[in-house]
Amino acid sequence: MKGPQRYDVVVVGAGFAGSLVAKALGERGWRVLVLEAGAGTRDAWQDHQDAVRAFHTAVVKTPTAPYRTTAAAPSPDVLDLTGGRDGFQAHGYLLQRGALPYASPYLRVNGGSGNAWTGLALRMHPEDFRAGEFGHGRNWPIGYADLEPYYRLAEGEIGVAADVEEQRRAVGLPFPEDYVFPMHGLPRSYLDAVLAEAVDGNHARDPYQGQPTELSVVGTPQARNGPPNPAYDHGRGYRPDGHRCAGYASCVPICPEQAKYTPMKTQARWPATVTLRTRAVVNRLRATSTGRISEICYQLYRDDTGGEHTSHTVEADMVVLAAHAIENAKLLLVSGLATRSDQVGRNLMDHPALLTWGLTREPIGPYRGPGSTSGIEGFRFGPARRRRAPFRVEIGNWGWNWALGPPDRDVADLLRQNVFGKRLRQVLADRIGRRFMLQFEIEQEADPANRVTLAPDHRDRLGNPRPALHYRLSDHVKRGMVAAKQVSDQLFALLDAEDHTEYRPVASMPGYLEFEGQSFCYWGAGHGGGTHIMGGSPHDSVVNQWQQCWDHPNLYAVGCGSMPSLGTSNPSLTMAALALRSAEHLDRELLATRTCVTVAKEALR
Amino acid sequence: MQDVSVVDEFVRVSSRLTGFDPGELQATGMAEGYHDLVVAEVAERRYRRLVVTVLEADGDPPAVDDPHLLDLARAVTHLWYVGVWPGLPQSAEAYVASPRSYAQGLVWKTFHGAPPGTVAPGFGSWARPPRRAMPT
Ligand SMILES: Cc1cc2nc3c(=O)[nH]c(=O)nc-3n(C[C@H](O)[C@H](O)[C@H](O)COP(=O)(O)OP(=O)(O)OC[C@H]3O[C@@H](n4cnc5c(N)ncnc54)[C@H](O)[C@@H]3O)c2cc1C
Ligand code: SF4
Repeated sequence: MKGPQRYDVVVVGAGFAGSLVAKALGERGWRVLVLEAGAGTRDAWQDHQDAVRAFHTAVVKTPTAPYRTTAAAPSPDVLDLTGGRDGFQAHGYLLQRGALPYASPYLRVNGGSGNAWTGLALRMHPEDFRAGEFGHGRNWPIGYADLEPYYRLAEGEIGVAADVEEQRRAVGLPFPEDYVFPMHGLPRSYLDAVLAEAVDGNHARDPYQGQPTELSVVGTPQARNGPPNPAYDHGRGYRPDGHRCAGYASCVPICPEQAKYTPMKTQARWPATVTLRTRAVVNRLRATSTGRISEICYQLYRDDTGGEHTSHTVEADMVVLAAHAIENAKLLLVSGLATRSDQVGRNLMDHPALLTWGLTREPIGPYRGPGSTSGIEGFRFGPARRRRAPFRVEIGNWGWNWALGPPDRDVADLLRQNVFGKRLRQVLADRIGRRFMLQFEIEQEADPANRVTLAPDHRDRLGNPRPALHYRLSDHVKRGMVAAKQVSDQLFALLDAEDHTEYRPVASMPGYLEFEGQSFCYWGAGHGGGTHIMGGSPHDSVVNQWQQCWDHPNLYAVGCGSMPSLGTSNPSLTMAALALRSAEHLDRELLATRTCVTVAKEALR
Repeated sequence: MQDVSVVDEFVRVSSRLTGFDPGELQATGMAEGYHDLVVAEVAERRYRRLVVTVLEADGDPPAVDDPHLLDLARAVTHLWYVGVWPGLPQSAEAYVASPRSYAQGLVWKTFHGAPPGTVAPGFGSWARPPRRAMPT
């Protein structure tokens, strides 16, 4: 009988983190097999065309709408949740067992959730790595300075457009003196400019802050192509991969221009040492008695709608789990691995996003350009963090889309009220042309009670247990919402905007909640993390600072699942930096095993 | 080729319902396709009654009182505005007529916008003030 195939490295998941790790290791000459649960070919252009078409013809344009999802590798979708007077209900792939819903989707298709992401590529603030010092959540075993060189690497690999001076001054981020981003910062939207005109230099009060915070509209680093900066890389410049952002305004769920970074770009740069196998769902890892992972089991399927499959195994010196925070935890749990700390699946975090929406006085032209080009950064750091969760204000360029959906609904509502003809046209012009939204992304601290478990009595089409989530928000987070709403009120007043925000226990608001007599609703930002948390000790964390499992030296779990705190920045750039740092460590470990073998062979001679 | 006058008639009805001039509707390139879709989706008698009612009614918007016709008037307007044929009757499944119908949705034209993912106005276009809303 032929033995199982053997690789230097097997990467589980060809998503954001997995694609980066595979490239870094493949470039160093290691033979890498990437097993990807979702469909997708390497004819990226045809897949892309199909996806754009699917997006255009989807009645409901959710983040997953363009992509060819399969029954064998189901993905959660935003439509899986509904709200109501008696609380929320979950109908989809994720089983929800908590007081509140975990409200974020992710995407199991080649390239992963990074196909559908917005492409906001912020660094975490140095303070975010020490969240535990503020009495809520956990500290990282490493700090900003340890990650800084890898942030630069990630910004080069992904292609980030930003203004280094502005990031230094307005966000307080340290950079090496001569650093510039690969591309110049993108122009801010007209809405950003209107908002800046109204709020810059003014102050807003937050009930938990001693001093009012000075307001300033700051450009957001973007993982989409702008003009390259000739000063990049000590004057060597930068060659953007693909076209310049052309303002299609559909970065979520798909950029027709391919101006936004997706993991497909990294896959296109994979050397021949990297092999991709799609429609390959990893369902178990086996370990020897010493803890080494000896075998990776996976299921291959053909059909998009059925569960028929064949079972296979493969061996590797190193195994990298990169299947997304929730799926990584699921695989560790199914395999009974990394159990020592009892932290696998725990500390599930996301950015609960409080959205507020209204109308400006004059038309601002919504639905133009990237989803968000600027934010207000002043509420992200400082001592108020002890008393309420910090938050970042993201300025939303796409009308009320995130909270209430596209204007289709307005049309249907008006028609139901028998508004036709010129009046219909006028009412819509006036309503939609002045729409804007503020998106408050609130830090959620690591809480061991927020967790992923298995639901053995609920299996997917391949017979694998589905994830069950236990999710809640602490009062610390809810106080963050109280503060965010008050800040929003002040921003609306400065802008002289009409506030239309209304949180109600209705089907479209599954994240509805009440706190201290006030109504709120949060939306999921898609930033799931924490489920294989990183720490300084095997007793209270799953992976070490290299994302290497404490209990299994040849097993790494990479992705936002390793992050002990998410801070208030969108997490993927940090995740990418961590992944590239781990790839270096993997390379060293692989070299060490090879050297050991060679030395042992020499000794035998 | 279609009988042009049938499509023209559909455009005149649609113009009354949508508040867009016949010329604007023709410019979308959707008129013929939408006409065909509508006559395929609903009984001919019902469609004829809508045509007669709308073209004979004065005023803007034209008065359509019969609830049965009103549903059809809403469906036709909805099709033009967002490119989606809503379920008629309501239990039927809504669908996007075609990728072009999404791109040509009138709702976006009301404020000189474009549906996400269909038009590339160019790098930095989002920094400019919007074009003024429709002339009244
Ligand atoms: C709508 C939306 C917008 C977002 N916007 C931003 C943003 O602006 N900025 C930001 O920083 N982040 C953003 N995010 C978050 C970002 O997408 C994630 O942080 C990132 O994609 C996570 O990377 P990952 O590699 O861990 O997981 P993924 O990218 O989800 O990749 C996981 C891969 O593993 C595969 N897989 C899963 N299970 C298995 C299995 N059993 N066997 C084999 N393969 C498997 C999946 O198919 C997938 O390809 C957004 C997310 C969403 C949903
Ligand atoms: S604004 Fe348009 S071109 Fe630019 S990244 Fe988004 S979808 Fe792509």
